[in-house]
Amino acid sequence: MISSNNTVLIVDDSVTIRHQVRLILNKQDITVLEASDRNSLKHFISSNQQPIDLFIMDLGLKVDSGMDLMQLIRLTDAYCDTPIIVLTGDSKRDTVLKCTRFNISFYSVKPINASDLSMKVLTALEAHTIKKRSKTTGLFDSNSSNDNDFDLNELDSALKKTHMSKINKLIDGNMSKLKKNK
Amino acid sequence: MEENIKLFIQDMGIDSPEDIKNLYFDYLQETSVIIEQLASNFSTLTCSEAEKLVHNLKGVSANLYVQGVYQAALQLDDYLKGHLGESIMDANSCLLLKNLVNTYEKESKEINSYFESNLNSKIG
Repeated sequence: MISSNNTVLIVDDSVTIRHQVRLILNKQDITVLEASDRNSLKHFISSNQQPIDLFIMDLGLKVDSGMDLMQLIRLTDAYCDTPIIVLTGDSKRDTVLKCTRFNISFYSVKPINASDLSMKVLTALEAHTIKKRSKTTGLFDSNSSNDNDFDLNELDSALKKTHMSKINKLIDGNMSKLKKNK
Repeated sequence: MEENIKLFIQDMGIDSPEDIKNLYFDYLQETSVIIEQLASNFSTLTCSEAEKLVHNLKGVSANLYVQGVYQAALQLDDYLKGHLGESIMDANSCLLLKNLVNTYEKESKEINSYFESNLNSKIG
């Protein structure tokens, strides 16, 4: 179901990390573009030549803040709801919580696990594709799936119960359950 | 280091020896710059600047299973984090830096040697 024409943009200031991610995702027939800072990110998101289907975002860039760059992405009309996967060495609970306001799909902690990252990328792309198709066919109820409505109190409570090393499992498994009930 | 590289290849699931070699060579190129900056400028860097460099080195080394460099960088990173805002030049930090540089030299030689001997054969 996933198109083989998907394009992912990795934003990380390490050439080695970008190279590694490119190798991992190329195996899934995903085109990988690379950006290292705000300027190169802006170049891609303002260009109409190659739409981005998913962003992978490092948080600790040398000069820029990953949070600021995610805000830049979300403020760009074409990418206001494009999947973002955070890929970072920061596993602090507060950081995870701060990232949720950018409607991220997954929070992935380095060192990179190739199969885990591939799974997250493919899952996020698939979910986004289904959502777009649902909108097109009119079967999608926009009121019931506003992804910005995460219940932060429940997320905070859930994170307190889990060891920091299990962040990914929590985020993987439980993000949908933590959305506010309307 | 050879065992770590083989494990990395297995975990990454990449079949092309050329791809793996190029990735490690990118690693060596990127990290040699960091090591050079640390070794040459340690006395002029602030604790925060040094910590950022070491943190980056630590992260990228962990990703490519360069365990010795990762461990040495981790020790220095932890030390610097505990002394942010202070002078960087003390006996402990210099010792930890020396250990990091020596470990890096050793493991980068091992990486180069691995790929030289495996250039024409199937990796793993």
